[in-house]
Amino acid sequence: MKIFLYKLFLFFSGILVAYIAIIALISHIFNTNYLYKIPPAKTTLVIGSSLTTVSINDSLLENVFNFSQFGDAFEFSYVKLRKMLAVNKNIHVVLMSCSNVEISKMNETERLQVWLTPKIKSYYFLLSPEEILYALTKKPEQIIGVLASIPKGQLPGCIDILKSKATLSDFELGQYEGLDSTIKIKIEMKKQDDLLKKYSQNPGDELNISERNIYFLHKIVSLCKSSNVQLILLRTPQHRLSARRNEQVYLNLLKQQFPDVPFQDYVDTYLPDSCFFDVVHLNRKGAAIFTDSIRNFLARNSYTK
Amino acid sequence: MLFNSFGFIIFLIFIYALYWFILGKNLNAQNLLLLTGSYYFYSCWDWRFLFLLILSTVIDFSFGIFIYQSNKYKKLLLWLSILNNLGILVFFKYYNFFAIEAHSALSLIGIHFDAWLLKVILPIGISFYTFHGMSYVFDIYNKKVVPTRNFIQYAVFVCFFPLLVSGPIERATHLLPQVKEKRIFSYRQSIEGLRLILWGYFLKVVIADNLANLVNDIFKNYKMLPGSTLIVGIIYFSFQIYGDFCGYTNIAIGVAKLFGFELLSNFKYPYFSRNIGEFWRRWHISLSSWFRDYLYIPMGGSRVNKFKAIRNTFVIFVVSGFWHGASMNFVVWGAIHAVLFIPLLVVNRNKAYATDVVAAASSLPSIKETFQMILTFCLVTFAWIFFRSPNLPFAIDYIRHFSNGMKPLTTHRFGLFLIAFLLLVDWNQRRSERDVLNFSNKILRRSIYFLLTLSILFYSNANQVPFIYFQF
Repeated sequence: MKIFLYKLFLFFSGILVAYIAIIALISHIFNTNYLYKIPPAKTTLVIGSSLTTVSINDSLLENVFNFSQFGDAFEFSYVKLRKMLAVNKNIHVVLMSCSNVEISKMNETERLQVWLTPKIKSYYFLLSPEEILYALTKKPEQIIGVLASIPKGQLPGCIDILKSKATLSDFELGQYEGLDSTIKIKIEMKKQDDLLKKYSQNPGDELNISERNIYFLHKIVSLCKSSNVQLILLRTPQHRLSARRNEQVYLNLLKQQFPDVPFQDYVDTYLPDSCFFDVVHLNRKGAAIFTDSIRNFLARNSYTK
Repeated sequence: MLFNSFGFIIFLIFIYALYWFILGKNLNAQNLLLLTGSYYFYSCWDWRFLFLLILSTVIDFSFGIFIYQSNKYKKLLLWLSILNNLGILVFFKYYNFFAIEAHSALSLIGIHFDAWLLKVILPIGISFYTFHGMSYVFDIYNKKVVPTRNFIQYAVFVCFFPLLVSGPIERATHLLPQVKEKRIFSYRQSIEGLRLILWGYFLKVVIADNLANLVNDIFKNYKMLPGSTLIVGIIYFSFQIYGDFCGYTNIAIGVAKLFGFELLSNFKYPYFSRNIGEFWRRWHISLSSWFRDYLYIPMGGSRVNKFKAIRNTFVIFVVSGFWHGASMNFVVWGAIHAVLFIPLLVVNRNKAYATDVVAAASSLPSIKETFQMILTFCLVTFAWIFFRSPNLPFAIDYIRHFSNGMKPLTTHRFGLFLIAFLLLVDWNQRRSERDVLNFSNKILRRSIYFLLTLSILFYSNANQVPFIYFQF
């Protein structure tokens, strides 16, 4: 039995070493700097979750590059920003979506349950070992499954990168994506009612701010500071039906913990119903109007260089 | 807990370590561990059905003793036991089917009533463990086996976790003596077990799950696809179900070997069969031999006049189809196989190729053998349409769309590569279904172990795809 176990151990050690080497190689290829190089004219980077993904149409702004992505927790915005700032010295301004939705615990939990697995699959090569370990402690089975299947999913991408054929938009890491539908008021009212009923049963939930999100927000602030980049926190317009559950806590938190970071709050900007996809997301029409507001804001404050 | 899940690997390592290192010298403790582990394994799906499993085990265990001891009421007790097992099966698996069919039939003659349907889910593995129990009672009745007085031993025979949910369907004459005897660690057996596990995982995770994506896509969009793609779709399904079920069986047999058990074979490279008779001696062997021994032979088998033999054959195939699922498409699937088999019975060719393997003495098949294998595969593949379809009208519509036209395959081509690889390896090892991946060249053998393991890891998925036979 000793020989059996010894051989088994040797075999799986070999597999593990080969596997780590393959993952490391793929990770190295995906970290190729040219992939993350944005045009020199793009001096403003947008990061965040779906709120900015659907709201800022960067094809209408010559100085802005929208790199936000659906479901990005601050943790993922941070790792993406780290890479982009390292590669692109032309970035001087970072606009980051930071709303009451994104800082809540509920949102973080949702991300861990729903988004973590696909996010790790998309961003594993940008994560540090410590960040991967954190994910592993949260959902070990799924994360191992995701990491194990990386070579299969990423091989075509690797070949394209090695041939210098790939672009950032090929990998769904972040870009503007317009939404076409318009808000259905009756459905949204029902959704809001359900949400309020759900949370009225757990009043404590209103105050649950995600510590992990805040921790990464601090890291983003420090990163921007050390890179000499102006960080601006941003809240995109929300529909009047939107239930801002932790509004006061949210505003206080920004005031107390991030007093030096400029905050642009567009939440109450009036936009007609035809501009919304749902209570927190703009559709294409709304995005065009909001993008114009962003253009004016950047120009007004001489952030565009 | 699926075989292709991380949780199962942890479970297996834990049980294996306890089994050999802590309890290695105590047979009763080893059996108790296997039983507890098996119950835990089963309860991971739905702990509520664990009580049904235990109840069924207790009843069959008791009936076994009663039948053995009784002189006068042997037959009555046997029938009670059969009724109990079939009752459980019918209640959970077939009740709704019968209720709906009765409702439709009576509606035709003008009698209308509201069919009372049960809202119950099918307990996993029910078709397998009830068949274990029935074979035990039949064998006691036929004096092939003496009932055990040790409940734990009997319960391990019924519930041993590798075979609990999808077989192979074991016999008391084969497995029970192994449960009673002390198991000794064997290096050779363990290595064989690991090879089977490795090949089983490859069949499931790489071959079957990848083909499943292609098959699902083709079946979902069959109305818009050319006929040639639909034909390719059903060929892919033939290999998907083979990879899925044979993969499961290989893992089950391999895991059992790690614990010192030898399970019955379930697959012997069925797609290298030269006629339908040979196919059924190579496909899901433990089920077909179960029906042969406990239904076909008691009905008279083939030792009756031709008409009765044909009737018996038809019944066996239809029942076998119905065993797979309470739906008419499974019945039709069984009936098609009966129709394909009966001509062989009529011309006394049903036992041809009963012992040998194709191209046993050569590396390639003859032209005749190649033609026979292709023809058999085409017939079996045609029948799979009914197995794969959700219902009978769907199957008929799928076949009707074969006339959508023939176009060269431009999409879904990856499956062809998978099938070619599978056939190449299977052909090379066709002489023994147990001795897989045992290439004589050491470097080749180890390289293949390495590559297969890496491929399994690459193709593993965060969302494990369940085995097809779990639904039966």
